[in-house]
Amino acid sequence: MLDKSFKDVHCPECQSENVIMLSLFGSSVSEVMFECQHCRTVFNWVKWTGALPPTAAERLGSTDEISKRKFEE
Amino acid sequence: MARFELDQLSPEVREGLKCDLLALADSKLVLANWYTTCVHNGRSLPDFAAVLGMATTSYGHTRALYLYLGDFGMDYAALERRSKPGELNSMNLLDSPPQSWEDFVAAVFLAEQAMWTFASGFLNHPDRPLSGLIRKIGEESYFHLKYCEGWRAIFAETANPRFGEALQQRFPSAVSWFGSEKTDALHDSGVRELPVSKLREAFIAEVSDAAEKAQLSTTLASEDVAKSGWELSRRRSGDVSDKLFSIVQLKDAEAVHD
Repeated sequence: MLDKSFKDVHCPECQSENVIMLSLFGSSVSEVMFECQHCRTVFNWVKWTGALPPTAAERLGSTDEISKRKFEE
Repeated sequence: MARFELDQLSPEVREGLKCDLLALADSKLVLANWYTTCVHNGRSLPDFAAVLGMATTSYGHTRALYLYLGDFGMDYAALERRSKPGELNSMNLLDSPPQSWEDFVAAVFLAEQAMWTFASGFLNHPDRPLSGLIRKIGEESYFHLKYCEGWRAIFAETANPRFGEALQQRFPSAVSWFGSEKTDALHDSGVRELPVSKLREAFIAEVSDAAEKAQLSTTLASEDVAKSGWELSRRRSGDVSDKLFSIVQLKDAEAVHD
């Protein structure tokens, strides 16, 4: 099953969403390499979607407003 | 929102922030060298591409952090050119070279996770250049951690015990990077979102969760692991070895900068 991070990836040739990831780092650092399972096209997908790993605050389920407060006028 | 100025910070907080960012940058530098040194042990071409990709981005993080440290009066060229092992403030976890592929993945996972957990404390930092830099680091670390996640799944599928053993062995050293201080001047002054003790707690939770998801029968040490001689200003104890420093050190440094 394709990782949820890649749910919007589709084949640029046939538009199929039936793709598999071949390599997290494709032809360049900024690309992920996929293969279409419908037409066999191998393609690179630019990976930046703004996704971040969970932050420490998210992990602990807590937010601390001190930083925001301190520098407010 | 008032514009953030480093000069607003007390000397103690300013120095603490500088030291923490330098420890992060130096650890990224050593990790990048781990990647370049170990790439030939990759198990597939995607491994080669990934490990070299992670090396590239880790060097990039180091450079960006070194440049930011210019705001603290540190000279980029001097940071690149350090000439003694005692000047490098990388994490103890990366001092000892990997003994196997499983150990490599375990160490890299712990290092990436520790660095992101630590860096995420500055994600909402009031200085936009720093918060933007941390966000960019996070976007790239996202894929570094995903790479580790893939290998953890493989080790679990193949019931490979060596990864769990390596994780268990390296975990105390990884946790020691966070120290054991109960107070945190950077948090108290609003520079860090959570105190380091909370970042440490988040790191332990993240690694424990990852070990559980990968069905690893690993018991992670939970005792206070801060070693004697551990220095807050360097986030490490002792110096890196001459051998490790010789890998990291710029060769013929005088030729690089005028």
